[in-house]
Amino acid sequence: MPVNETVEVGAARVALPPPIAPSLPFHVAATTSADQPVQQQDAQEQAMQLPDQTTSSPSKVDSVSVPSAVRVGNRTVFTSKLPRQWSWKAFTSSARGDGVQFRHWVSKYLSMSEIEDFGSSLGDEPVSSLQEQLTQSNKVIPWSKGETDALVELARFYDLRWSVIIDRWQTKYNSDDRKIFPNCLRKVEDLQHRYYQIGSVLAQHRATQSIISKAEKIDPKQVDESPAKTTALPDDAQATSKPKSPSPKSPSHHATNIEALQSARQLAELDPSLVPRMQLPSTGTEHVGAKHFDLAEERKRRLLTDRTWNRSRQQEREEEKIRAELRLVEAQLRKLKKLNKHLVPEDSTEAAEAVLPNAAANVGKQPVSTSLPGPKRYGSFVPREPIDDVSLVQRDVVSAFEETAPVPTAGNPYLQSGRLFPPAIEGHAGLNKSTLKSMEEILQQLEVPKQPIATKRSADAYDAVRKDALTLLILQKTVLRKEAELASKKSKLIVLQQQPQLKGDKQREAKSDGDGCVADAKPLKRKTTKTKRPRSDSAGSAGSTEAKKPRKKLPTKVAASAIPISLTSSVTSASLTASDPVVKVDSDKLTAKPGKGRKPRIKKK
Amino acid sequence: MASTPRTNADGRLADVTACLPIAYGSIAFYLGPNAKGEFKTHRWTLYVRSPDQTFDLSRAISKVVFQLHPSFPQPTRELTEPPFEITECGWGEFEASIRIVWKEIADERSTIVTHGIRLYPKNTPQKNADPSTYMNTQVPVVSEKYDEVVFTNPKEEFHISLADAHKVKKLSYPLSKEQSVLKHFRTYGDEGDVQAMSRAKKHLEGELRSIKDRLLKVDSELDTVKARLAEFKTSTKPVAKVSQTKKKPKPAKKLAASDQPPSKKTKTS
Repeated sequence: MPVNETVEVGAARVALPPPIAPSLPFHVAATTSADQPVQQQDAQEQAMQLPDQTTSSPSKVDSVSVPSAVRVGNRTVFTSKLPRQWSWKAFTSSARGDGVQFRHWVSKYLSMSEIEDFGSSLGDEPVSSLQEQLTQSNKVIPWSKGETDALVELARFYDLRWSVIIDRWQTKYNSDDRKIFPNCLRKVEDLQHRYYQIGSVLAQHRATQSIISKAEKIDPKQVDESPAKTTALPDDAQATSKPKSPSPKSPSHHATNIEALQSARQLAELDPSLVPRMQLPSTGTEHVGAKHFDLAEERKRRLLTDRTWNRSRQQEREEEKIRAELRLVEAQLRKLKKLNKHLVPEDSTEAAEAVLPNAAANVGKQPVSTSLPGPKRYGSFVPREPIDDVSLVQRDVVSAFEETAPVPTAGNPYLQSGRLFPPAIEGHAGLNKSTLKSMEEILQQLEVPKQPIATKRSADAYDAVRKDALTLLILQKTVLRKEAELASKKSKLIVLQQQPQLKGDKQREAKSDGDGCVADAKPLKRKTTKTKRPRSDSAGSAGSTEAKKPRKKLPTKVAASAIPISLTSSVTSASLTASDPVVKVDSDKLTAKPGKGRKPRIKKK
Repeated sequence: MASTPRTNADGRLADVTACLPIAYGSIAFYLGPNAKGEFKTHRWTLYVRSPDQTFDLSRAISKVVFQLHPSFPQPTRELTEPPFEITECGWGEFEASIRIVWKEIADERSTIVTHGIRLYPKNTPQKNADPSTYMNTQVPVVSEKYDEVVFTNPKEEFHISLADAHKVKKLSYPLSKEQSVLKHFRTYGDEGDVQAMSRAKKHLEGELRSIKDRLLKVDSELDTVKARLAEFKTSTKPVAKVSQTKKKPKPAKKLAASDQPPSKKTKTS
């Protein structure tokens, strides 16, 4: 039978005196005793004490003043608060034959009967008494006695290793030649559920027994309490509330388990201080609703896991794709929601269109009233699926501006000069500082006034110009990046194609790869001077559409780039040559000079 | 430009924005020999006015609160009538805050702007030599700022009174009580700025177009190359034969290219 009481067995005691539990708000000890056992210093203790001390014999309060808060590790302990109360309790383990008693720091309110016997396990119980207890608990379970016995025996023998247990179970009841119904239908979760159910019922039973035995020992007299409330015995075997310790109000000696439990409950209802904070065994929490084993959840979990395990590659890829899309869409949505623009405006207009030289209003003459479709931002976009880079970039740019621009709200007038501020640098919608600087340089070159006058038209125009400049910069970066990617992929393709051929060819491959790598290297290098090259390039291409032809006349370059190009369509050849080394570009009909320094150059028309 | 605006239940016009231009700043005169002691070397005027000389500010503003430096007596000064200006004598430059409280019918929050009162012109040498070299009693130091106050969905009454304020033929108040200040009131125009910016925008549009074209091309190229790579990965063994056939498709301009791979083939075999 399990040990229900704290028995001070005379066998091997711990030779050392117990440490003093820190029951004061703070524990100031002047001396440290060298022969304190190490085992007393467990993590919990140290957390309770000030860091520069050990548990030692009677505290000598220094004249040291105690700080109000102390850092212990990464926590802060407030010394004014009462610390948790611990007690140094003894326990035995029936798994050990010699009945040696060890001690352990345990919450003061925890009844030792719960942890008295760490070593016992369910299987030590004679099964007959188990059966009686179960029938007493009024559970309607379609488990037969034989089944339960078998389960318990298996669990005991295999130390609760469920994978082994279920295997043995299946062998016994679900083998090919004979199937025993309903045993063969039991899945692992059913077995587990049954086992833990039994366990919790037994725990409850033991708890009530311990109350009874305690009450018997101390005071067998009946104490008249307030009329007993006949609350039903909780059948789900969750939390039980027990009286703290012997007190004048100890429960009277009851004959049946049910009454014992009821009186315990009465006590709890009478005075909340009598309800101990108890950790539910094997759940590690005090939460009353904590279940030892949630069958429904477990079933669901297993089903999902099986499905996930059995997915085909195709499905996996699909899911990955969908997740990526979802992430994108959610990010977009978050951005839009942040600006309250996730609703599609009726007719969205771009700011640029509002900037017309023949605008009706003159500056300073009258208050300009304009009716906009909705109090929206200037340059708002209809939210749609982010398909292409351009719209993505535009969206980012717009949101960066809207971080710093004033929000038009009714009843809160704002100043037009607020719209002239630079867009956000930090924050999730922020741009790079360098991008911003480049944008400012571009504006400077385009002779845009640094502090435009704060009128509506002018602010609109300024916004539009800045956004365009930023979009241009970001798109240039994207294009370069993609071209680099393209070049590398092409070289990879060549390698793959020519692999089955002999090594003689591989030298040629190396050459073509080299050229491809040259094409790689140049765009990568050019990223540092991105503002310079591509602009001159695009300006050149914008300026003279025949720029492509002269390039092809150079024979060496054609041959080198020929191999990659052969794999692609003719349309793309122009763009590839556009990513070719810079030297060629300069030699063409471009007026922009390969700049000095890093200033972005803009060809002026 | 303005369609007929609807009026909401709370008396505000829906989807209407009203911009009220405002000019605020300071004009400071160096008194020179007329200075009343060393603590009153300058006389300055801090004001809020409308850049349009026929606009009646009293229809829109109920009062203006000027917050001066604490060293002035009664540093918080409220003016309930135009012209909204404060004239003081002093010696130091400081940051004044101006709070414009709109009419009650407007039901709008008051607007606060700050302005640094400048007494000394920009080309003041570091180590003050003789003030008379760079200071002029006739030429004041003007620092004025133009701004517009934007009302979103203004109240209908307020909107009407704003419109009326412009129709006043003659102002009921002088633009400024200081005669010397009046001639330094200027008007503002945005034509120059707007034109410069529209020019810039046109240019940028051109650049954007070309970059977008480039992007499209790169994208389509990338797609084809990726498709090819994927094919390669799925079909491993028959690559030897398949690849050679793949090199055949010749873009129109690249005849030279297609010659090369077959020549390689002959070399190895």
